[in-house]
Amino acid sequence: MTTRVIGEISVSLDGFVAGPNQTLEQPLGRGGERLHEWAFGLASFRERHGLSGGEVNADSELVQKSVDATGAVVMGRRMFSGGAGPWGDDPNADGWWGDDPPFRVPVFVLTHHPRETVIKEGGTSFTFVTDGIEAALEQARAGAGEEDVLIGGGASVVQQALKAGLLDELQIHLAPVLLGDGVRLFDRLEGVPVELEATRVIESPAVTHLNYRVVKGGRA
Amino acid sequence: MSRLVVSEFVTLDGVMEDPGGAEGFERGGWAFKFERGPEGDKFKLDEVLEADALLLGRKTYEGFAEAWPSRTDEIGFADKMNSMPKFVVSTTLDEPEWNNSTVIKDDVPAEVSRLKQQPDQDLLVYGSRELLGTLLQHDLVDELRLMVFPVLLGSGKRLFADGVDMTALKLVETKPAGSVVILTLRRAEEGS
Repeated sequence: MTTRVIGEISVSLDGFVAGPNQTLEQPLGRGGERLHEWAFGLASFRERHGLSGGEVNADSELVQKSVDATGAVVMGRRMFSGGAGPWGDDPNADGWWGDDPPFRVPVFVLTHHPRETVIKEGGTSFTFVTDGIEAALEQARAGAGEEDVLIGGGASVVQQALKAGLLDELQIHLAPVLLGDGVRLFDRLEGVPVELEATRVIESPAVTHLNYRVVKGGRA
Repeated sequence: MSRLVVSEFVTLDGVMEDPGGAEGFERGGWAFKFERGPEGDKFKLDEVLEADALLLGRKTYEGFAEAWPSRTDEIGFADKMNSMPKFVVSTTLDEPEWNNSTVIKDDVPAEVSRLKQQPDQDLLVYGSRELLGTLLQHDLVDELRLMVFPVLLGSGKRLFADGVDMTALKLVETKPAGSVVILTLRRAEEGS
């Protein structure tokens, strides 16, 4: 099995991955939690977040499969802590994810501010990468072994990977809500069009899972 | 009461501009680069045959009025497009030339509501980005159908303008068709 680099993210029907006014109290912005409602009740999601029970359905199988196939995660600084600037000034410098984060694989955080690797329980480590998306993906590939590298967000990390031609697949969870404002997934993509190939569609009542392969060198 | 259905071609990055390539947009014509298969063709044909009238914004109307009158096909799509009543929203258009057209000049929400209250007046909207904003704002859309094309265009007008009110919808159907996906959505019930 070859390592794939996969952008995996929940998006509103009008293209937002977070609502406006992101704060520490409301990290996904106004209305942004609606994008993830489909996942909250799932057994596979709950297990990863230290909760029992939950539903087993097409959505939970999909989450489980993705989790099983993932060997490393890449995320942006905001997805790690919501902050910006030097770590000493970040009120949430330890991140959102608690002592037993749901990733359970090495996580590579893109930031401009260097920091020692943080080891958490359950197999999660956070390594801070200051020299850009290519370096982060390279380290993640090395950390993933033969498994996939998942880019969990935010939007700008997915955009950087796309623009660098380093994204192999997109796994979009399209939530049936219009947010009207916020952070767009596909923004500042000058230099595309990027042609995609629809590889799988999974329908569920709460969300549509759209998988695409990025057609390399293919201009639409 | 009649229904208002909005049916759109949209790229994965939310662009709706010039799917057919006739509007001069440098990245136009994207819709024809992908196969929608027999299911997609049937979906579009059933949709137009079920509608009683078209409701269009001025720009979409003018593009259609130029293209459709000379078209004909064996399945009846062009015949239906050309024969059915059209309502075009415009403050500047006085003498619409396409067969069976009526101009809605002002108070669009009230006029559309009035049309919807008539029996057998199921309205179908294609394109018409600005009009869609008005219809969503006034809660006049009964069903939204999005044919999502597998391309990131990177520029072009987006279907959903910034600043629409937060709106929860309900997925009615997800239909893969060739290399596109057709989503059918309705407004979520109160409280959901």
